[in-house]
Amino acid sequence: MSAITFVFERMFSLRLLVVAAAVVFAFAGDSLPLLGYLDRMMFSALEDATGGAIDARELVEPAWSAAAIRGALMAGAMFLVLVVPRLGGAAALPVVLLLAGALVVLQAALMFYQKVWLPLGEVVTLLLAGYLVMLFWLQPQRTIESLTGNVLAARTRLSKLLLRQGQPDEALEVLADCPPDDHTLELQYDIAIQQERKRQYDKAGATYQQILAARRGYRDAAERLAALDSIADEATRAGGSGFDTTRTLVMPQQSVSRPTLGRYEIEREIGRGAMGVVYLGKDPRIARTVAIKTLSYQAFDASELGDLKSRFFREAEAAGRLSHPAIVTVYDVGEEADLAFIAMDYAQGRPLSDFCRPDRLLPLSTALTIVARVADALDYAHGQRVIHRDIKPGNIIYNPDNGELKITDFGIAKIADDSRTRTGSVMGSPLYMSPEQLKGHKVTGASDTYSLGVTLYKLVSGQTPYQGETLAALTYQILNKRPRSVREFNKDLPNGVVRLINKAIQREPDKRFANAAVMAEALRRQASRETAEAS
Amino acid sequence: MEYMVSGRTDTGTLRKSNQDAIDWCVDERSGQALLVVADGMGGYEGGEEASRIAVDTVMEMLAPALTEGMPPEFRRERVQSALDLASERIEVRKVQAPDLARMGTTIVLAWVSGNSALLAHIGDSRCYQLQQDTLHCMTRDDTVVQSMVEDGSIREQDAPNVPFRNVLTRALGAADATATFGEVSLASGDQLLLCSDGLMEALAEEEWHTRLLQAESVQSGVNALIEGSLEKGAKDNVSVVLLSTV
Repeated sequence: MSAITFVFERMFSLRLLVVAAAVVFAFAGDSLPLLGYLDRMMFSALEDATGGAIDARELVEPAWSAAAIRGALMAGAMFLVLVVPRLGGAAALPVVLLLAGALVVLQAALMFYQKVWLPLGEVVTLLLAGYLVMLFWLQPQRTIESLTGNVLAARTRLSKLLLRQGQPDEALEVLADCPPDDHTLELQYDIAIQQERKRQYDKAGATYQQILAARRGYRDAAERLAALDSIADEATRAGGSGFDTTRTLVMPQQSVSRPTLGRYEIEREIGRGAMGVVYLGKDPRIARTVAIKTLSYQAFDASELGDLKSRFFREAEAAGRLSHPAIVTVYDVGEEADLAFIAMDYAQGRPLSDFCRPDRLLPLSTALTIVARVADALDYAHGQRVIHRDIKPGNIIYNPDNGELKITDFGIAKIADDSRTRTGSVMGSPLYMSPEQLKGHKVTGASDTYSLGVTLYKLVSGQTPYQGETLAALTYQILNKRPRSVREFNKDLPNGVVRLINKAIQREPDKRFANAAVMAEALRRQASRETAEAS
Repeated sequence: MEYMVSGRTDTGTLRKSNQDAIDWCVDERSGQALLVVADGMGGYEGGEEASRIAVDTVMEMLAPALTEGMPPEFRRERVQSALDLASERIEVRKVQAPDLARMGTTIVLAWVSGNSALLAHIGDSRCYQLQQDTLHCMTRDDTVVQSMVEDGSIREQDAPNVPFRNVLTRALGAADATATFGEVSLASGDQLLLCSDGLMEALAEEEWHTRLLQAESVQSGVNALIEGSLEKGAKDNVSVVLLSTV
């Protein structure tokens, strides 16, 4: 069927007319008196020139004459149809004239010296008339060719542009109708690599297959395809239909490109936070190392996702406005097909939760100074109308080597917890959560102060003011019971520190420190008293 | 007393999968009926599978007991052992498929016999009794929020904002599968309604009432509730099983 359409589409072309004319000339030339005109003219011309020396009766028409003429006609037709388009109309003109002239001279010479009659006039006619016809074909053909060239060039450019904008699928689509030449293949190859990086392994595989179908053994496409297949196998073996928060990005072997999130190249997984997996990444443009926190969409229902995303981006942008030495800088937020991510400064050091075991506590003055600095940073953030919502030892990174301190996850840590439907046991603990937050009331700066108070409680005692076996029991205690005094766990604690903690963790927000700056001030006073006593 | 039972479950307007499962059976000879609703959780597949296992196990274990004509005093024990088995089966699946590790399900069931019904539930799927024109909730949600409201920690109107509002204190597939039991006595014309939380979220209780009273049959009553929830744009899966006494 496709063969018929192929023939049909090309049948009504002026080129076919030339071939048809050659066939007619070859087999029905004798019945067309017009065709003999040139031969007759040639004959009389020669006769005149030689003064009647040539006698028609002396001329012999050899047996191979008819075959030679036919052959010459076919050769002429092929020349017109195939060679003339290559040469172009103008360049072909002298060639055609030269050929026609040579044929005439040949015919005259044969007649004159060999007494052989070879009627080449038909061939000359075909050449000249066919050339004229071909000129009509060439004109629109050139336009079509230049247009096609333009379209292909435009498609290639558009495809490159789309690829650069990180839309490999669209880039591939644009290339769909382009013939598989070097340019196209190279671009398709680049597209496949980007699909790989975006972890769209199925799509990348399809693209490689397309490349290989066009040209077997193109670069290392075959090896890459094989590597992708093995990843797919792994994923099926793991029994997962997709990623969830607990699943890491598949870190592919060497022959597959490193995955990227946005413009960041992923180096390795460095941890799992409240929202999802955290990666160590690199911004290739400025060679900056970043921590990338991801929020995997897989864990959420479509109904929650819209709300969740908008909250995530809103909070991330708010956090991005903060600029403080003790707050982790947010560089970028972005989104991929299956997750949202936030790229932030990679804080060197250890979370304060590493210093919370009763037998491994920080010296009191150090703990007080650290908490004072956190309070300063919180005061700055509150001034910018940003509430952290999840202050706890795990969200404060401390570097014991240089004393650097960074608060992470401003505003974003609680998002995933709040939105997830009924995860049952997998859920942040309310140990550091203020009573008003637990009740679902409006969260203010005072809530952060409370959480910081509990953090200090933990840092100086290794315990928290409330303990409960279950979430329900713990919630009940926080909302209804008096906290256990920190002195119960650390008898040596100075009165000042106990009072300070008690004030920070008052149930009523109004009874706590007026703001984080006031708390910082009190903490510093206490810290300097400690150092004075120690020395 | 004769029973008419009907039920329906719907994915709702936003979710991709239905993690609810329902079933019921009526044994006319012994004059008993069994109604079950389960609402799964823990990811798409996990939720679907957990609720399915729970409902299937309960039907498998208890439906034969209806025909056997089991004395009322043994019923609680029988129900609890069916739930224990369901819990065990869910645990086994969790171990087999790590992807399902977070799965669990609520369950509410009513074993109706003569003019009384034995209720058992774990989680926040509920059972209501519609008596003449009053609607009573016969179960107490096993949720953190419910405990908070009851102990006076929060006011009822704050419940929708509480951070842990979605957390169940008990679920089938969690450590403890002990159900809370209740008894209901039924008068002729009473209706018993089992539902998942999707119905409560989508449609105010006052509306159920009018819709059920207008319904001509159990089936149209069930449809009225489901359609009503969908009209209100039910986000969650909605499931209803309704029993009417004649």
